[in-house]
This record gives sequence, C-alpha cells and structure tokens, in this order.
Amino acid sequence: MKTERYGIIGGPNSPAICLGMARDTWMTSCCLATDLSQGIEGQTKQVFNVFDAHLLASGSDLSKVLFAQVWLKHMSDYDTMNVVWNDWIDPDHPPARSCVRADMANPDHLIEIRITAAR
Amino acid sequence: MSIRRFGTTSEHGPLISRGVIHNDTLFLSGITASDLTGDVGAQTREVLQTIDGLLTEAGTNGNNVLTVHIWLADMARFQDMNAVWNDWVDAEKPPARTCVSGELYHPDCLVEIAVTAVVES
Repeated sequence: MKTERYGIIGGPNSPAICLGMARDTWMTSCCLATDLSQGIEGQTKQVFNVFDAHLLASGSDLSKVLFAQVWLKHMSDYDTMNVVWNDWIDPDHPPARSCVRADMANPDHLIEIRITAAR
Repeated sequence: MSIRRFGTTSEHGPLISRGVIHNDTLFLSGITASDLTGDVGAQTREVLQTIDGLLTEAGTNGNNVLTVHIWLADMARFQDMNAVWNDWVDAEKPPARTCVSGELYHPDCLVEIAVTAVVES
C-alpha cells in the first residue's frame, strides 16, 4: 500500500504541503481558491474544480464523497455557498457535512473545504 | 467497498446526509440543536441525544466513537458543555476530541458536534 499525493505546493510564503492525499481505500483533499479576486461563488467553484481533479486522479468520483468540512469567512455567504454546493454534489449520494465560520490565513480567502472520499 | 448514506436532508438548504458509512467507518454531519432557545448545556444535551440516535441508526453506539470535533460559539461556556459531555461519555472508553470556538450557522446556535465512529460488522 502506498501513499499518493496530489498538488504539492510550497515557496517562501507558503507552507510545504500537499493538497490531496490517498491511501488504499480513501482519499482526502483540502484547499482554498487561488484567484482571490472572485467572490464566494467563484471561490467555491475553484475549490470544487480542484476536488474534481483530485477525485479523478485517485480513481474516486462525486458519488463516493463521504464527508466535507466547510470553513466560511462570512456566515452571510452560507446560502450562496449552498447553491454552488447543491450544484456540485451528486444528489443521489450527498456527503455528511459540517460548516462553521473561520478566518483563513489571507483576509481575501472566503472559503476553505476539506473532503474525505472513498476510492 | 460499501457506502451507505442515511438521513438525507435539505433542511437548511444544502443537500447532505446526516450519516455516511464507508466500510466500518461512520461519518456524521456536524449536528446542531433544533431548539436554539436553550443554553449551551441544553443544546449540548440535545445534540448528544441526536448523535446517539444516529449512532443507533448506523448500528453502533457511543463506545465506538473515534473522533469528536466540537465548535462552541462562546469558549467561556466550555465547562458547561464539558459537564454534559462527561455525563454522556463512557469514562472507560472516551473518544479523541478537539474543541475550538467557531461562529455557527445561526447566532443562537451555541454548539456543533461532528463525530466519526466504528461500525462493527
């Protein structure tokens, strides 16, 4: 059994981390948006685009997402984020989820999400 | 691989499952009280009762809980939550736990708890 890593990042202003990781039966991915000029709708879509890529790379898919932890900078973005969420998830296989408010490292980050999925 | 989902809801807008079982691991959504008029002790009691019900629905119980994440709207109420927690938990088989402060989806919502647990086959 080996560990797979997706999206290794680093640099002077960044922690050296991988955004996604997988083992034999599961994968997890956690990320923020990169284009911070976008609002909550755009940033949420950017995060989901990264998840789509990591799910594909790990041989998983949307029907296998188990849990999502959502951190929102502004709870007033909750309803808008939910619209993008409902658009993204597989309606026949909705994950468990928790959503709380939190400040991210950069004040322009509006959302961070971690998912865990089976593969 | 087996995945079972239960308690699918869109109560607050998002389409989510309250519980998802992958093989022998159960993931529960972050659970909040439905009665937001109570203090943190009352809300914690309701949340833990709801979690007990979901654990039963998944075929497991509180002794098989692995991890617990607790978000408190006000960390000054930590001991009030802990008193209810200590009543609920089996002191011989306590789970791993984190507790941090966090603003929840409604200003009257004082506690949210998300757990993972083993489902023995």
